[in-house]
Amino acid sequence: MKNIFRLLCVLILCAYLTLQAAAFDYRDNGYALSEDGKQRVAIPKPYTVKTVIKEFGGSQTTLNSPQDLFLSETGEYYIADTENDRIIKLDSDFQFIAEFTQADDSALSKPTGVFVDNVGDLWVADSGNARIVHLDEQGKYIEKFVKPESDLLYNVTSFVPTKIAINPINNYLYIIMGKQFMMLDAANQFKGYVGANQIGFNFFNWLVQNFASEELKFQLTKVEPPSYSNFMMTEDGRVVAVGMSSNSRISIINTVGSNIYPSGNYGEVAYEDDGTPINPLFVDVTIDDNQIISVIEQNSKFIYQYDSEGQLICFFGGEGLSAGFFGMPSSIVSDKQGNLVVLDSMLNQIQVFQPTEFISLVHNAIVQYNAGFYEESMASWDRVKEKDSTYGLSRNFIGKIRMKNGQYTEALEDFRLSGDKVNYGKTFESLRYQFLQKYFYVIVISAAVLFILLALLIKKSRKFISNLQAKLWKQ
Amino acid sequence: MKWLQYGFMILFHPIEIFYLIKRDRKNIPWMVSLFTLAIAVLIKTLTVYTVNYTVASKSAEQANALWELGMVVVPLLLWVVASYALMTIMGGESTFKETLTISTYSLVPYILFTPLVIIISQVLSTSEAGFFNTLQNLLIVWMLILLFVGFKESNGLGFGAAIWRAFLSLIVMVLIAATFLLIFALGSQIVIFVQELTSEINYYLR
Repeated sequence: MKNIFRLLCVLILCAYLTLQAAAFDYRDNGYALSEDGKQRVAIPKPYTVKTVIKEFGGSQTTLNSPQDLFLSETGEYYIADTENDRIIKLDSDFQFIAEFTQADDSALSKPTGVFVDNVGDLWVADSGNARIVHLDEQGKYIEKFVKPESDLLYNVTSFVPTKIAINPINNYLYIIMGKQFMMLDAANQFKGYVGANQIGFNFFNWLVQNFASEELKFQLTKVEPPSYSNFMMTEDGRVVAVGMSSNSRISIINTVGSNIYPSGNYGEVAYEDDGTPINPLFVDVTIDDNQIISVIEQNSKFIYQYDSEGQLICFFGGEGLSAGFFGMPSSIVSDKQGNLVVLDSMLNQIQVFQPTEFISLVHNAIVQYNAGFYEESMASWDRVKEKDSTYGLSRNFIGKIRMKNGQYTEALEDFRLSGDKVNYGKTFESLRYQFLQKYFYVIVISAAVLFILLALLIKKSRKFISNLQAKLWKQ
Repeated sequence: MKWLQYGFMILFHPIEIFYLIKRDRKNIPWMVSLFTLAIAVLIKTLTVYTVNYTVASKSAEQANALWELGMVVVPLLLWVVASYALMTIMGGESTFKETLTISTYSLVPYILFTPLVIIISQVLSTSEAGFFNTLQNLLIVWMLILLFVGFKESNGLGFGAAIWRAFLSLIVMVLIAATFLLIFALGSQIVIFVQELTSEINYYLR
């Protein structure tokens, strides 16, 4: 009896210990937003940490506040190791290949941007020396670019480029420098701003233009282009840029210069203690082969992921020291396998995130929908619902697929539950049109009857009202 | 009865009805204004549930019944109190019950026509939400006109004098609201003070 009692105690103790070992980590999930966009909703973990790399090699083995990460076509990683004044080249397993510190007999100083074009040449935003340097594969100096002469750059006193890329279509240099996002050609001439908005008509500006003096015109009606903080150049010449403009923090600027990404308030607005809003600040963006955009938000240290139509897929991350969290994420790239590689400038490390089965299903479903394979997309979304039945995006996409298939009443319900008023309206219009077509004669006849009844009512009520009036006056 | 008929005739011959109400000013039942206010609050709450999703500005989960009540009752009562107080000093001819009844009667078009607007909203889509908003705004404008005309007629004023006194009443409304806010803020300070005092005493006694 005593032995059985002892055995029972040991078993209970073991069970307790194993439960402790599997203690629930409340942050072991990713997030999405609720239908009204105001609350965070937990979803299965979208990305897991595959590797964390802290040591790299070269003259200093660790990084020091690295500001840019670039993945070339041939699979090599380039890091702008800013405070160590060098560019490091790594292979796809993050093993050290080479480092670059010199350009044109002067050392690189605080390089904050690096880019490798399609012939393998290296372009470095050497911000400490106020220049862009163009090196070849071995690091031999070819040319440099400095501040261009232009009247349009009247308010640019120093040329401190932070990010650089080459557009493969027109071979211009795209440079972000403070608040300006500009284009330079091969002869160091200023070619214009990128992604400038239409100015539109403003009554005040029209008044000033027509009636004010030159200086007043200059001071009052100058419109500055929106400021961008970082961008990524795609192979077909589109620029995916992130910035601080109020309703299009993410833009895709095509070769003609217009923004083809839907405008919206991306990211979450945080609030300070006294209620002033802190707008999200995106500091880097990457787009993968499935046209899925991942951005880094600097204040909350989260990574947000959007699809090509501006819908939020998930967000994850946060501030912290352990794997899966960030100190100050500065750059993000996506590789060909769909992993996300994030560079952390405070913890001086690289974390490689692998997509989980859940988010891969979601990505597949979205890709299939965008490619027009609605049956397969519906099947994929059903599998997503098996894993997480409350994931909001699945309901929205299922609604869209049903709308395309003509199942309007079910689609209506889906859109109402996912809070999508726009698509609800479209489905409603289709249903209304169907109803009108089906009952056209009935509607026309009843409208005519109603009209006649109304006319009769008005005639009768005239008499009724004057009678009532007289009666009320008599009392 | 008589007051319901008055409510119906407000839509067609408002000025005559205001005169008739003034004629009967000695025995206006309180129930009339209370009933009208209650029905107006009911209709406003009903719009949240019955209006079509495409034109709805708030969902049923987000709506607050007390807020709907407040949105109807508070501005109207503020107006009644402010205009009565002002007209007492500036030579008005209406009693408080009279002003209250006439002002609540201006809600009648809203009460009678909002169900019609809701039915129209059932066939509207998202892009036609502007039409729905226009209809609602028309009702509100009608209500404001009735309010103003009631104010003018019940105090026997000319048009310009009525405009000026109505403007002053608006200012008085703002003042009353500001006073309430002040009382609330100071009162909460007193409450916090008393709470802290008691907690200190408790801590000291222990």
